[in-house]
Amino acid sequence: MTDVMKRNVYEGIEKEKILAELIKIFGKPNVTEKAHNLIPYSYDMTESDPKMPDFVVLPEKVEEIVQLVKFSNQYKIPIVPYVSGNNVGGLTIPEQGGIICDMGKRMKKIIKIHDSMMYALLEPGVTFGYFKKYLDDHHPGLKYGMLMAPPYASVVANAILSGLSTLSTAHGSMADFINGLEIVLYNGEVVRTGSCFLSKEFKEDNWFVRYPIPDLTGLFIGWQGMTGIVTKAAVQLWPKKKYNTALLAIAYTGENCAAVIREFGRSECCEEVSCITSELAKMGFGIQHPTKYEKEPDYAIMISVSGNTMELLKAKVNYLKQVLEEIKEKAEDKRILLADFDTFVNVLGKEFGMYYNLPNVLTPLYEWDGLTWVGSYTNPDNLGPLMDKCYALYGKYDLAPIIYAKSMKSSHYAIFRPIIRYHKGTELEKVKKLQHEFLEIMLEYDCVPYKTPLWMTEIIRKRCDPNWLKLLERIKDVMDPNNIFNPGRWGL
Amino acid sequence: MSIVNEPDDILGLALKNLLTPLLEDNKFVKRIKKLKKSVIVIELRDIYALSLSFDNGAISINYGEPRRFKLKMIVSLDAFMKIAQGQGMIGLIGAFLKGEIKIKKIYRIFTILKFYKIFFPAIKMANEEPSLEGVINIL
Repeated sequence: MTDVMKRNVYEGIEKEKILAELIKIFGKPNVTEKAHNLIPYSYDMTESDPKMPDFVVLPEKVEEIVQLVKFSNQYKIPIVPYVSGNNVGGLTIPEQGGIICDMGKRMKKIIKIHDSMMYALLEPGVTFGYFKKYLDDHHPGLKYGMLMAPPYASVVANAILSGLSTLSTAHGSMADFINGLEIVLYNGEVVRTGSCFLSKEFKEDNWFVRYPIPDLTGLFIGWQGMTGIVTKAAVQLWPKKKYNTALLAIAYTGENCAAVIREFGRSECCEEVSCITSELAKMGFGIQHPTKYEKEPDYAIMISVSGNTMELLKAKVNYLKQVLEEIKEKAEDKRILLADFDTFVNVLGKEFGMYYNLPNVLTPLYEWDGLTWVGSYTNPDNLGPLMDKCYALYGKYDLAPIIYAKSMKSSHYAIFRPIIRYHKGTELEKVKKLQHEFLEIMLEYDCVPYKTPLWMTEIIRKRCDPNWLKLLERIKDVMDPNNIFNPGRWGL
Repeated sequence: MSIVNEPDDILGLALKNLLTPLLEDNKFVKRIKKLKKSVIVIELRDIYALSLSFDNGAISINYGEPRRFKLKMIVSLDAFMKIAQGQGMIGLIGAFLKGEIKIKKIYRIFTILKFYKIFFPAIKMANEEPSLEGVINIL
């Protein structure tokens, strides 16, 4: 393990000279070293400890990033890629100081929407909100998966961090949506991965597939910006179906909820099958500390189904009803009820619609100053016990249970994510303890954590395959010999 | 005229949502006042029951079933959703005939009618516009 936490940013060059060079590259209005500008980049909503950057730069062009990387590599100055900072993993907190490269402000072009090959070529700053509106306005026949996050979240960051979306039950991790990337390497070389590698010059029209060449794209997925700076990504779009319905199932017990998620996902009839705890649903109505009454349902399961004809849509829904009956037959607790989502929204109140109309600032998650989770990819067979065990832990810590789970890629795998919202000033230590307990349970059930904060990777490093770690370190050394890219992550 | 407590269970939130906009309507308020002092229980079958307590115009909504009540309506979720989807009186009577709605103390026919005049417009109003864009209700 590299000695990662100690670094003197100014070992090889004085601060004033760095500032002068950055101004030369980016222009004065796009560089800052003022503390009041740096502070917002020093922390996020999670339990991760804050660390101050030394500079923030706002690039507009890839060429500026090339110059930045060459300069930083020469003087071994850390660079932390940043877009909106809402990754909920402390991933953009500059562990060793250095330069925040904020691509969210000026690198937000939709370079190309290729209608027939169904992909979008994007800069990192393109947000979900903007992307959705752009597609709706200009390419109404195409869509991209949306996420349970604010509209200002980055499409590219979500994809390269293996995020999820409202199309993930059908099509898998958002990393699977990537056709190719453009990356600035440590020495300033710009490389393009995927089918676009076949031309020497940059073209917009050849980003249609990631395979069958060696999958170099993987060198930049899930790496949290440690191997290079991604400056463009081509992501897959999907045809928008003519008829859409949204259903909502309510279930008692983790086991029943897990069965619906798993089996509905596996039916291949749904674009999306995900659940939230009743407590989160109630928080949407402004109830800050929801009480769970004995006979209230435990989970609300949101299901999206679509088809190009009404007959197809109805056939899918009828099949889901059959699947539900089969689940109920096997279940000890038969109380699983299915209805139209829209009716629930009408009856309960428009606020409940926020969980369907995505992207959205889900007020319950963002109204306090602390938000964190242990996000994981998991075996769908383990969802039931995971839900029950983690649910019980919330009670131990006197916190409202917020559990989110989703079927991924027809239930080849699932997402399991116990979420905590909290007051940083008074509940931070408690939250840290709970996070550790969540992780212990989740690792016991073979969950694979994603968007891992530092404390989590420390634990994972101790129990994972040592040869996997060696390979990880070797690749990092090759890709970033001076350890300038987001140093400290994964203990590297 | 108001709902005097803050229900915090799911059904209570639903009823509060359904009744609140109607409390602006004088005709509706008059209907509520006609219920004077009554406790009516609504049970969503397989889920749970809550009570609506009317006290000369003031309404409180509470989780659970009190020992004493004037009327109890047991509705299946399917029937509730049918009514909520705007199938109205036909949906309501049809559900009753099919046994999807059961009423305890059915002999209190006047209370039933008074309550119907509150319950039905509340649900109907909630369904005048679909809430989720581009979505077809299919069940």
